[in-house]
This record gives sequence, structure tokens and C-alpha cells, in this order.
Amino acid sequence: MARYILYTTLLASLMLLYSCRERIDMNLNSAQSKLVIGGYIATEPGRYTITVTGSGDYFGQQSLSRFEQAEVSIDGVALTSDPLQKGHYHTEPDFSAIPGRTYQLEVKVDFDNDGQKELYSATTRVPQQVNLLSMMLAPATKTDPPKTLPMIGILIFNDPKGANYYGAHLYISSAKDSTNQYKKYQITNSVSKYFLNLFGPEVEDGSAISFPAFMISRKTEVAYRDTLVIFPLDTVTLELNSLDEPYFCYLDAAQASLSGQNPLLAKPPGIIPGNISGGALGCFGSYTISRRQQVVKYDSNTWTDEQMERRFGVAWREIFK
Amino acid sequence: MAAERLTMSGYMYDSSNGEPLIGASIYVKELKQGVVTNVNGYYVFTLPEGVYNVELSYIGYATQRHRITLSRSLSKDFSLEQQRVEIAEIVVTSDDPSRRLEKPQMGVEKLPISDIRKIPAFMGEVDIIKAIQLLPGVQAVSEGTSAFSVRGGTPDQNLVLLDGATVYNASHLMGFFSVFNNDIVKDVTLYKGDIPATQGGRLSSLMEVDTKDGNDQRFSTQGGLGLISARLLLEGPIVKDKLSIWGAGRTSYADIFLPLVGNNSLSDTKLNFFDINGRISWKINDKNRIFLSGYWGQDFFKMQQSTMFRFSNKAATLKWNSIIQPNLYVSTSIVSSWYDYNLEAGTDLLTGAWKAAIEDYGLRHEYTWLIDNNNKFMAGLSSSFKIIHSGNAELIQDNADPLAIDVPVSQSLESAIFVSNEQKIGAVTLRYGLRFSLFNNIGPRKEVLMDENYHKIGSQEYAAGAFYNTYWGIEPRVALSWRIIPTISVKASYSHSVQYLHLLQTSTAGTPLDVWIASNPNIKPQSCDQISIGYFHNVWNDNLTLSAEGYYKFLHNVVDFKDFATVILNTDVDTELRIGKGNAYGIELMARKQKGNLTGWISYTYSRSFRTIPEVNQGMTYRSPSDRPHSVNVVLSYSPLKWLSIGMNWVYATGQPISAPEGRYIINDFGKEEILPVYTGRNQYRMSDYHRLDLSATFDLNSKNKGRYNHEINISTYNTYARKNPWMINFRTDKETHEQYAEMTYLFSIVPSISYNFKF
Repeated sequence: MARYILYTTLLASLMLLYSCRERIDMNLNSAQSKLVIGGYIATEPGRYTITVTGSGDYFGQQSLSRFEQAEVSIDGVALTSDPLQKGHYHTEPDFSAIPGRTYQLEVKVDFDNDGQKELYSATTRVPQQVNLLSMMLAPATKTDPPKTLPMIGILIFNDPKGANYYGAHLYISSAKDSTNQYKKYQITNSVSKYFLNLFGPEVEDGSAISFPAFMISRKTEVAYRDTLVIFPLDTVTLELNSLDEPYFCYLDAAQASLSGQNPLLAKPPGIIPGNISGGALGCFGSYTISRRQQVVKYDSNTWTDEQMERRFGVAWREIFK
Repeated sequence: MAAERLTMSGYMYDSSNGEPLIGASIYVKELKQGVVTNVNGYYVFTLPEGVYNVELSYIGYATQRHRITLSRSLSKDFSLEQQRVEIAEIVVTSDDPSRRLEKPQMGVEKLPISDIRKIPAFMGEVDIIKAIQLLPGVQAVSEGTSAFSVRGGTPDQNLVLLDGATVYNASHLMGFFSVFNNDIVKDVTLYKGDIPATQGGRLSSLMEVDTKDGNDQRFSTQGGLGLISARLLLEGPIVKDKLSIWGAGRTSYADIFLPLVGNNSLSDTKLNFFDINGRISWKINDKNRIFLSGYWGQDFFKMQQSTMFRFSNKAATLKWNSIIQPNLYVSTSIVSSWYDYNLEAGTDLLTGAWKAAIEDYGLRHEYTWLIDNNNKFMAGLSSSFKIIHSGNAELIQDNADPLAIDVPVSQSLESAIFVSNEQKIGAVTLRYGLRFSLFNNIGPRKEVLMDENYHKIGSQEYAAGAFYNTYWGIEPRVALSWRIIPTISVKASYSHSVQYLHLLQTSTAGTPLDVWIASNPNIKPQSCDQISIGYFHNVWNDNLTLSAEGYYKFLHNVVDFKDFATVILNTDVDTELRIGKGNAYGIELMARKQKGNLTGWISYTYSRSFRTIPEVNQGMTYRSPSDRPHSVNVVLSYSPLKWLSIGMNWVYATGQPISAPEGRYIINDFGKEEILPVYTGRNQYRMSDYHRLDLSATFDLNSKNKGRYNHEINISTYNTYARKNPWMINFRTDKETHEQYAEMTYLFSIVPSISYNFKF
């Protein structure tokens, strides 16, 4: 974690100072197409999805194959193929994984087009539940006067004995919008935005720890071309996940692949390790969920009067008296 | 009865400042024999009784002729005067071209600081490592770095010595400058493979940087002022001819330009370095000399009062040179070096700190015995104790216990005894030597235990002071030079070397965040067998030297990383490493012109470097990061007028190997589809080729009236035609079109600079 914060801050600064970027043409060889099976289950009731797709060349316009005729099951219970999203298979809407239990995923699909479905499988053991004791929003800078944004979210919890693998999700809900239409943004809606605890599985062994995750700025990117502007009274929710080891390793490698070849920090890229049998790519994983939330406080150093007036109207000072 | 053999010995100095002259020639006409001074300016000759005409010469200095009557062994020092002549007559190399033909050593490059100063410099800061990177067989690891690769090796396979003390990270400002202040450097020698038996511990090269002795005649000052840095050297005698001292400092002010970037977040950013060098040299008497030299340099980066990064080098050398007999010379030195870095970031509630360091304390005792004019024998021993703090990170929280990663400290002792002899037999010169190296891991230490698949299965603790693991190596070094005719020689050499220290760096850019580890029960020492052959030809009265050298290296126990290895702050880092073998081979061609208005060199290098490690790249042989098949260096200096000197470099190298994805697939965890790249091999692609042109013009401001005060202005451009040389390549997905693309990051366009240098 410390590694992550310190590194990214340092690197971003140096890159800003020196570098320029430009798109280039590269000729890359074609890779043999492979079956890709991925997905996860978690301890919160919900509809979980397994995807069955194929890999393709890195560059190129051709769409990646999606397999809609597969038979997908978890512990013998069949998943339903999504008619709108090819290659997506869903559990029942109230599925929840039980901590400590092992689940088996089976996928039968005719990937090699020989008229016969091949069997691919994977197992995941759901980690024991780890609950958040509390959360904090700490100012990220020691500026004088202090500013409340950007902030670092800190998750506080008791780490069970043994190797544990943590990650965190971030959600922000808008209090103002919620008076009309409740909007909840899952900021970490992709693997590259998910926050993995990089301290190592045994470092915090058995102790109460604070796990700092996410730099939350006044403008936080939500998704493509969608920037969420954070204001006082918005609610920040932090979600702690305790992941099974193969899934953690898979996400860690996936993030390394996505973060690129930075010469200062790069990990040597390779085939992302998974747990699907039969030579398929991807991973079937599980994790536990625990959440805490906090309302963002008003701070005069963070928001200008004009911004507050646009957001809350001319009488905004009355709200924040 | 044979005539009695007498010795003539002494030192040769620069008359203006008392600096010893290294490599100066003493030629006895009657015998048609010559010797050159050693690194301390010392020479010794064995002659029969008689009267001799002796010619003393050193490039850039007026030749002296003396008639010497030798009736008994004689100790005699000489002082040569610098020639006050056209700048162009100061040639590109101080290494006597004729002597180069005779030396059995191969792959040795010597660069005097006067030549390095002529090379166009980045931001006007003359840099010896940037100059070294222009030599054949030497390649910058990437744009803007001080790390370099020699003959397909990795940067950690280069031993860099400053007055005998190891420099573990020779970079400032993330590598854009080196730690060597050019004002204090006397001489730089790079051994590209055939490292003498007297040195060891690295596989690829030895770079020896010697600082100047100091002016024991008068006080003087020199320095310079550039766009982002300034430097000053003060030197002079405390006791004339006996005791001299100098001190030099350099500081950067790169951050003063940051507010001009227009980014408010950078306005209070600090980005600086400084370094301080000093040396006291004491000529106790004709036979004993002592010097104490020291270095301290530090880089400092601070951003928005919350993030601070500092890295620091320290080195010190205490050396005693003693002449026991005119032909028996002893050198004893105590050296220490230290490299550390410290990265801190914090909030009001939470502070993170990451520290790492390597300490090195060494002792060296070495004898040089000139048995006769045809045999130079050396023997000695060395030992160095290393303490490696691979990493310690701590999160300090206001209301909770600190959270820490503490990678165990490693202690080791690396020792060696060595013997070597250089022998002349007619037109053949032989150099043969043997080095026996011994390595011990010393407790306390907890070593990880692994199964055959590198999975951790436990750990083993060793008590404090316990010598719990030992490796040793026998390292023969043999070289031969055959001077076929006075202007042509052929050479061949074989060397075996062992390396017990490894730099774990997934980076290709020479980051200061180094993680060094010593060999241990899991990580065996790396070793290398290198065979070289060479052809050397001097033409135009030694004015043009042509050389062709070929080499082949067999590398054993090469260390690389598994896919997605986590190296930094990993308490079980051994599980991330994979061991295998490697090979490298190449040809280096060079033409060097050394006299006249136009001097410089043109070189071409063909160099390949591969690794084969069972668990990497599916066990198939792959390119090492240093595999750059073709490189060309054109380094020219032209002095059309007394007051003007023009410099030019053109550098070309095949692109750096990189891994690139050949496939892609969709990952749909957490709600939004994301494209993951599929990497199928390691280093199977390359960045585009690297090339750039640097130009400089130096205006001597008082060329017509040379006096005590001399000054010049240097104007230079780095990357003159603004080539966008890739520093890294990333593979990304377009947010609009969702298509994949490759994106190059480059560091520099054209970088102009101006600097003012003075000396008085």
C-alpha cells in the first residue's frame, strides 16, 4: 500500500516533468485464439456473472468471440445465459457465497468447433469474513491550511491470522441527487480501478490495521467520459474484500498488465495466471464484502463559493452553517 | 660477467600544478625500450650501468630530453610543461597509441577528462558516464540514464570505482547526470571484459575513476555555471610540494524553472541534487604518499509538502602508496561506500516511509614488483564486508500500531587473493593471472526455504555472526598481445569472473530505487567465461588507430524474474527469481583519429545477448534486455580556430527489446468490460531504433592572451534534430473507439543549453 501511494505520486510527478506521449504503429504477430472463462462470486446476495469468451489478436477490428451455447454451472446449479449479452451466464439474483466453503465452476463449451463440448473447471474457496470496524477520510496532503480534498480513504479492520489477500471498492453517492433520484456510483467498476492491498499476505498478520485505499479528489473519474464532482454531503462508501489467493494473484497480474511497461516500476509481463483447467485463460474467484460509509464535510479551502452556489443554490450557506 | 642492473625510478608531474602524469612515456634511446608511468605517475626502469639519452613525453606536454649518467640506482622525478599551443594539438586520447598496440589487455578504453570535456553534453553538464556510453560495446540502458550495459551485460555487472570505493548508483536526477563532477576527475578507465586479476566481483566491466591529486604548487580555482547546475573547485598547497588539498562542490537548481511549466501543483516542488568531493594528498617523503578522499552526494525531491524522495551516495578512501624498493611498490587502502534512499509520503493521519541502503567496507593490500623490464608482477588481497538493507517500509498511524514491512538485513564478506604477471617475450606480451574469490553469508538472517517450483515451504534462521553459507571461485585471466610489425598487433584473451552481488531491477531505466541482494543458499553466484580476439593497426604515423575486437561470453547462473515478479519490499524475494544461463557475442570496430584539427572516433558494434531460463519464456531462449545488435557512434571534435572548438556526436542503436501483447481478451469483473493484453513471450519485440545528434561549440574567451584566468562559453544542443526516441511503450485501449493502440513515451525533444566555465 505504502509502495502504491508513494510510487504513483512520485512517478506521476516525474512523468509530468519530463515526458511526452505519442501513438505509434507496431506490427505484432497473431496469437492463437484461446478460450477465456472469468468471473467471481461474493458473500453479498446478488446476481453474479461468469463470462465465456475467446481471445483474439491484440490489434485489429475483429470482435472477440462470445460463446452463448455453453453449459455453465456452479456446484451443479446451472447458470442462465443472458440473451442480451452473449457469453454472459448469471446466477440467481439472490446467490451468495458462504465463507469457508469451496465452490466448483464447470463450463462445457465447444471451443474447437468439433461438435463436442469440452469440459473446463475451476474451484474457489471463499475466505473467512473480515468486517470493517470503521473508515476514515484523511486529508492526503499536509498543506497549511489543511484541505479536506483530495482525501485518502482508510479502512480499519482486524486482520485474521494467516495469509489474507485484500482489495477494496469505492462508491460515492450523491446526497443532493438522492432527493430525486438516488444515484450510486461504483467508482471501481473495472479491474484497473480496483484497489489491491500490496502489503503482502502475512505482513499485517493477526493485528488491527488501517488499510489506506484510494485517493479521492474533488473530481473523481467514474467511467468513460464521466467525471463525478464531489461535494459536501456526498457519501463515500468503502468496501473491504477478502479475496481467495488465486483470484488476488489474477487481479494483481491483470492490473500489472494494464498498467503498462513503465520502465521505473514495471513487472515483467507474461501470461496472466489463472485457475481454469484445460488451458483456458481467466480465473474463477471469490471474496467477502464489508462496507462502511462517511459523509463528506464542507471545507472552504476545497470548494469555492461559486461552486457551492451552483450546487446548492444561493442559500447554500444556510445548509452548512 | 654481466653488467650490474640498476634501477631508475621516480614520478612525473605536471609542472603547473604538481599533478602526477598517468601513462607518460620514458624512452631510453640506446636500448630502444620504454616504460610508462602508473596511475600514481610512478615509473621504474631497470638498466645496466651507463650513460643514456632519455626522452620524456606525454601528449599535450612539451617533450623533454635528458642525458642521464647511471652509475648507481637513481631516484629522479620529472616535471613536464603543458604546451601552450593550438587547442587542436591536445589529442583525443592520452593513452599512447603505440603502447596500446603492445598492451595485452583487450577491451580497455581510457578517457582523459580533457577529451570528455570536448564531447557535447546534456544541459551543458560534462558527464563521464555519458562519454563512456559513446564507446564501442557500451550502451546506455535507456534514454537519459547513467546506467549502462557493456557487451550485452546488465548494469549491475559493472563495477564502478571512485578512488577504489564502489559506487552503487552513479546517478543524479533519476540518471540524467552522473555523480562524477568532471572538475575533480583525473582519469577514467573502462575494462570491458578482460578485467585484470587484481579486480573482480563483476562480470561485464570495471570502470575506474581516479580523482586528481591536487595542486601542490599554487592555489587555483575552477568551476562552471550552467542552466540547471553550477560547480566550483578550490585547490592548493598547504605545504608546497608536500601537502595539498582540494574541495569541490556541485549543486543543481532544476526546480527554479518549474513555476514556468504553468502547473500550480509543481510550483512548490523541489527537485535538486548536490555533491561534495574532497581530497588531501600528502607526500610524506620520496617513498611514501597518503591520500584521503571523500564523496557525498544527494538528490532531493519534494512535492506539495507531502511526498519526499531522497537518495544519497557516500564514499571514502584512505590510501597509502609506498615504494619499498625502486622496483617494489606497495599500495594499501581502506575504502567505504554507502548508498541509501528514503521515500516518504504522508497525510495528517498517516505517514509512510520506505528506506533501503547498502553499506560496503573494504580493505585492499597490493604489491607491484617490476622484476625486470620484461616482467611486471602484481599480487595482493582484498576483502569487503557488505550490509544490505533491502527495504523497510512503515506506515505510521496516529491511532494504531505502525504497519511495517521489514526485509531482513543481509551481511556478507567477499574476499580475494590475486596474482598477476605481465611478461614481454620479444614481440609478444603476455599477461596471466589468477584470482581466488571467497564469499560468505553471515548471520543473523532468516533465509527462505523453497521447493523445486520456487514455492516457499518455510524458513531457516541463522544466528548472529554465523558464517552459514560459502561460495568460492577460481578466476583465471590470460591475455596475449603479438606485435607483428611496429604498427600492427593481434591480441587474444580469456577470463573467468564471478559475481556474488545482484541488483534486482525490473526497471529498464536505471531507477534509483535499487534492490541489491547478495548470493545466498538459494541464489548462486553468477559467473562468466569470456573469450576475446582483436586486431589493432596504427596508420598515418600513429595518427589513426584502427581496431577490431570480437568476443563471446558464456554466462552461468544468470538471474531473471518470473512473470509479474514483485521485487520491491518483498520479504521472500528469492521466490520471484529464476536462474538460468546466457550467452553474448559481438564485434566492435573502431577508427580513432588522434591528431590535427579534427579528432574523434567512429565505431560500429554488433552485439547480441540472450538468456535461457527454464521457467521464463516457456523455457525458450530469449533476448536479454541488453540485446541491441547494431550501434554506431560518431564522436568528432573540430577546432578550426584558436578560439573555437566544435563538437559533434551522432549515436545510433537498434531499439531496446520489449515484451508486447500479441492477443487480447475481455475481462468482465466488477461490472465494466476491460480488455486485457495477452503476453506470449519475453522481449520478443523492440522499440524503434534510437538515434540522436548532439552539437556543441566552445568559445575560448581569452585564447589570444592565455594567462592565469581562463574562461570559455559552451553552447550545445542535445538531440539536435529532435528525434522522439522511445523511453517506454505502453499498450492501451482508446476510450472513444475501444480499439487497442501502442503509445510511446519519450523524454526529450531538442535540449539546448549554455554554460560558462572558468579556471584561474
